[in-house]
Amino acid sequence: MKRIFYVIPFLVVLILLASCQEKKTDIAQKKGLYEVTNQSSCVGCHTDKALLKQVAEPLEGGGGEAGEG
Amino acid sequence: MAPLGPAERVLVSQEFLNSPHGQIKCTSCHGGNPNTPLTKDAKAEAHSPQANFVAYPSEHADVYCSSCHSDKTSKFANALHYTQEGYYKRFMIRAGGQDLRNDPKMAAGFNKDCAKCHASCGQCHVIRPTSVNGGLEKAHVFYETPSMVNNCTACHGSRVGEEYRGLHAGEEGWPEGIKADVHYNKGYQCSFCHTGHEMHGDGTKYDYRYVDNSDFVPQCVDCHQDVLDPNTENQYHKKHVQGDKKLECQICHSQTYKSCNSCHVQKGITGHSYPTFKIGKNYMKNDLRNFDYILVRHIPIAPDTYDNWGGSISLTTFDAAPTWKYATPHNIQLWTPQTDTTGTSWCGESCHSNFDKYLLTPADVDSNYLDAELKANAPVFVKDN
Repeated sequence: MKRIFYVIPFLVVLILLASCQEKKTDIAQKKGLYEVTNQSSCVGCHTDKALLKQVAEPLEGGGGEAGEG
Repeated sequence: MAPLGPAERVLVSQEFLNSPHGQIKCTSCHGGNPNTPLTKDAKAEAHSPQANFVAYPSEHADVYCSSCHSDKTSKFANALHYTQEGYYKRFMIRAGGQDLRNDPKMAAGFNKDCAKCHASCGQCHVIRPTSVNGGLEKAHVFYETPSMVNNCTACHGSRVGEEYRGLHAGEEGWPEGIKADVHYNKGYQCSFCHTGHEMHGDGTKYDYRYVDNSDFVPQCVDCHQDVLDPNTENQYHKKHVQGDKKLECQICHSQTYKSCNSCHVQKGITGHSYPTFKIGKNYMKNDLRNFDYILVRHIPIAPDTYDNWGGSISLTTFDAAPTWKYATPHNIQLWTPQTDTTGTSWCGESCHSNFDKYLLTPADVDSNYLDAELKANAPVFVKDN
């Protein structure tokens, strides 16, 4: 039983250390390189397939096979 | 490769928005005006140059990607997929050392006809290549390993892709029995041999894909080391790999492959591509490619190929490089017409009795450009007639 009391503080420290690790995007945001996402007309439109079908226009060539190399 | 529909090309998924890249504000990478109404009329304004819209941010990887991925972007800035330095250097060799980038008309012609083979980070990791009109491959989710079909062979399709997947089988003019590459049948994708390390480069500004760098150039013997075993019982390998006259592996293990006609500039050599199997002398031996004989394929270059560009640079040293070029067909089989001994009287009969068909000679050059072709390929001909 005593062992559990010794182990618990170690576990807490490990969990804290793991949660403190920064993702690359976090670092980039801190440096002021990027702003975090917020809802805008970009997301509003580009996640709405029905709307995109109304406004997106087909490209010349269609985007099928190429194949030069 | 099924084309993406107009909406699918630009559709963004919730999976992306939940991913690390999805935490970044859209305009941080793409610019544009996010405050426009969701109408067709407002679309142009949202994506206008005036709003600093950037369709392909990774074209400027040093700006948009390097803050998190500098370990890759710093090297890739010098990689052949990005710089296309291989094209420029091959041109210079045939143009008396002149760089087409110094002539505005030549540079414009190159940008129109050749530059679509350039690749940025995004064309492998988020969209399809722009040579097939781009489009978000996985609804903007970034993926580490490019899709073989929708990224790699979207560009490298007509030769590598079709050979590797056996798609020539049944095509008009192609021998029956052309099979997919044995590695494809085992499930290997392009990235199994062509790793990210090779694609991103080592930071050195190379000017040719056949570099002499064993650090990232894939070789057959990386996996098939047994062919180098001096105690091997395979007499073919003893003679043709370990012997005095070394053969490129594909000479025995490749099937018929494609040579091309009709460059994209609509000038010079025209006509359809055609099946070939030609053995030439190795005109570019180095430590990694110390073979004496190699497979070669004809490329659609001619002295007047770039005349339509209207520039001042012409191919004055056209014959400084062969038009039958080092080939690495991706259609490997253990048993090929060269190795199959069924019904033969001795083990090398299938190949050695077909030298007239297999070996490159002056009779194989393009007769429309006879003199130039004969000079250009002199180092490659195995026989003089």
